[in-house]
Amino acid sequence: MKTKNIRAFLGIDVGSISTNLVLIDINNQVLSSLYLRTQGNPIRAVQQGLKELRNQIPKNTEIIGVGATGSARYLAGVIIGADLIKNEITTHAKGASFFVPGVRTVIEIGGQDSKIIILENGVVVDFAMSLICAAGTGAFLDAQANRLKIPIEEFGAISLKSVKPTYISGRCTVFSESDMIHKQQIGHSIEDIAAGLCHSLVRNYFSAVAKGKNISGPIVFQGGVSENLGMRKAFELALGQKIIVPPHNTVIGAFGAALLVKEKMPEKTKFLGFEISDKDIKCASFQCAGCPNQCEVIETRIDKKIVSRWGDRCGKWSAV
Amino acid sequence: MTIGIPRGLFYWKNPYFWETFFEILGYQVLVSPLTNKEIIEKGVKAADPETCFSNKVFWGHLLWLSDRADYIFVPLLKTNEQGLEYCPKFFGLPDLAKILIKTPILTGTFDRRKEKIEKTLEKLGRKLKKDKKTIDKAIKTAILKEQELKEKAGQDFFRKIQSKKPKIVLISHPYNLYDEHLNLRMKEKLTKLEAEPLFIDEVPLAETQISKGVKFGNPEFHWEFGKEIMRQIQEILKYDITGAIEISSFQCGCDAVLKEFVEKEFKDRKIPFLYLLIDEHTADVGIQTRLEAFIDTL
Repeated sequence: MKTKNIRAFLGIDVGSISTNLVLIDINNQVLSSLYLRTQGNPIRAVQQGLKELRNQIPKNTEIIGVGATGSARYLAGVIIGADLIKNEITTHAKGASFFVPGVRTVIEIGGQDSKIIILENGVVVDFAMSLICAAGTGAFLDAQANRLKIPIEEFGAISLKSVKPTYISGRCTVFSESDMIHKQQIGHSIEDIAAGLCHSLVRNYFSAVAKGKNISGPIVFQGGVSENLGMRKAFELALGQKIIVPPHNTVIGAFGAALLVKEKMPEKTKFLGFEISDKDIKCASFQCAGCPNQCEVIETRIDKKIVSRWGDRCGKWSAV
Repeated sequence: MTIGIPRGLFYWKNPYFWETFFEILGYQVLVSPLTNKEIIEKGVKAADPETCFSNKVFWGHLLWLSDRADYIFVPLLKTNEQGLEYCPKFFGLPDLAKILIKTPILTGTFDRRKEKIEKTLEKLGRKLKKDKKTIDKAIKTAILKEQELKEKAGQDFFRKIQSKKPKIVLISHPYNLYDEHLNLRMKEKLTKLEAEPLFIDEVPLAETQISKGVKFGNPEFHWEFGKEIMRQIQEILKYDITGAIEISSFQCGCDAVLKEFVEKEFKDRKIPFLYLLIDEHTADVGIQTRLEAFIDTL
């Protein structure tokens, strides 16, 4: 007897630090979710993610739509065969509004950038992303935790034990290190320093990213850094109100992408199948010497066959 | 004899004006090409690391011209017709150019607070040993050329403002707006996202507004471009605008001040506003993400 296939939508969020996959069914229920480290290799992360996902889900799952997001969304979209490629602001807003209808502020802090999204009646009306500096992002905490020799996973719990958080400059990770060392040398406890770092990240976020934004509740906090209990507390103290950490907080961008592709309902998905994870995918770039523009052209090959090229301005390479 | 003109900073303040002037005076004019990677690399290598990106690009253009022209024209733009000062970095251009390259630099101080532009141009022409009649003709033709371009830009503006697509005003200095390599092809990107980009300096201003003494916004800006941009914003707000994007060159000190006032004008009227910084990095993923998200908010 043939069993009926489970129809599902896949959202994939490939960022600088993490690659996330979320599979939802037609009732928006999360069937499976994955959080992997990108480790500087987005292609391998996508392949690895697909491989793990295949092992988690029933054999009769049929993927009928794929949405890609994150800073490597175009690359991910090409190698996986995405039906929808959407920027991470929109997908994060989508994911947050699903769990918290009426959300007005979304604080998202990821590995190398952070965002604030302001919504009115479920529609994004304003947003900002961190500019050229990674201060005020997960990378800042990662670097400091490493210096303190605290695993980042335990960082939050340790900081919660603090009685009086130490004041540490947060404008720049480089200066913050010297400030932190001085504070250690004059005898501040590791708990107080850890809590102090959370506060300095929050200060930095408000001065660099959320500056001038109209923050009002309900406030949702998501992204990898929202796992950190110390950060949740620091935000609540700074804002003077409760913040909501939604379910699937670390993979919510991928979830939003899955929701969006479901709404779009592609007639026939472009998904290239789970086999992609076993194929030889290579990306290479070269500098075109055709004119002084010297465009950096990126080329993707699957099993040595060129599937896509982009980055050229005149179009002579992108027309594969 | 060839006169080279670097296609950066001052050039975009009055495009075609200078080349027309020198052509009528009887010279071959060579304007450096549109900014490309090679020019940026040259400029970044030579420039002081603390100046803005647009400034660095200017030096690339100058270096490109250095062995291709007999003279290179770098004017000292001091004040405009309303006596407002240009960016302080403009003041140093001719002197720095003289240090940087061996090609002789042709210059003149355009301080319209002290002297009419025609007078300064005449002095420049005399320096080149041209007679009064030729100089007058060159000045007249250059001014006419500039007016012609402005009129055309005005017509384009009225055509674009009729568009049914979301109309996005791009706010920046002309040398950022018109240099497509420098602004990471913002106009092209917006067009691909099905928006209608408008440049802030395309909005035609009534003659009365240009006259001296008319106040725009609070505070009054000391810099020529500050006042200019605030005035143009007042004008563009009379039209139906969907959103506004301010583009700033990283490390521009003047923009750091101006930004808050520009943002306020749009935010007060609930017009979506986006602030973008441009820098040396060539990967445009960050800009693309912000533009896509911005279009989604409209």
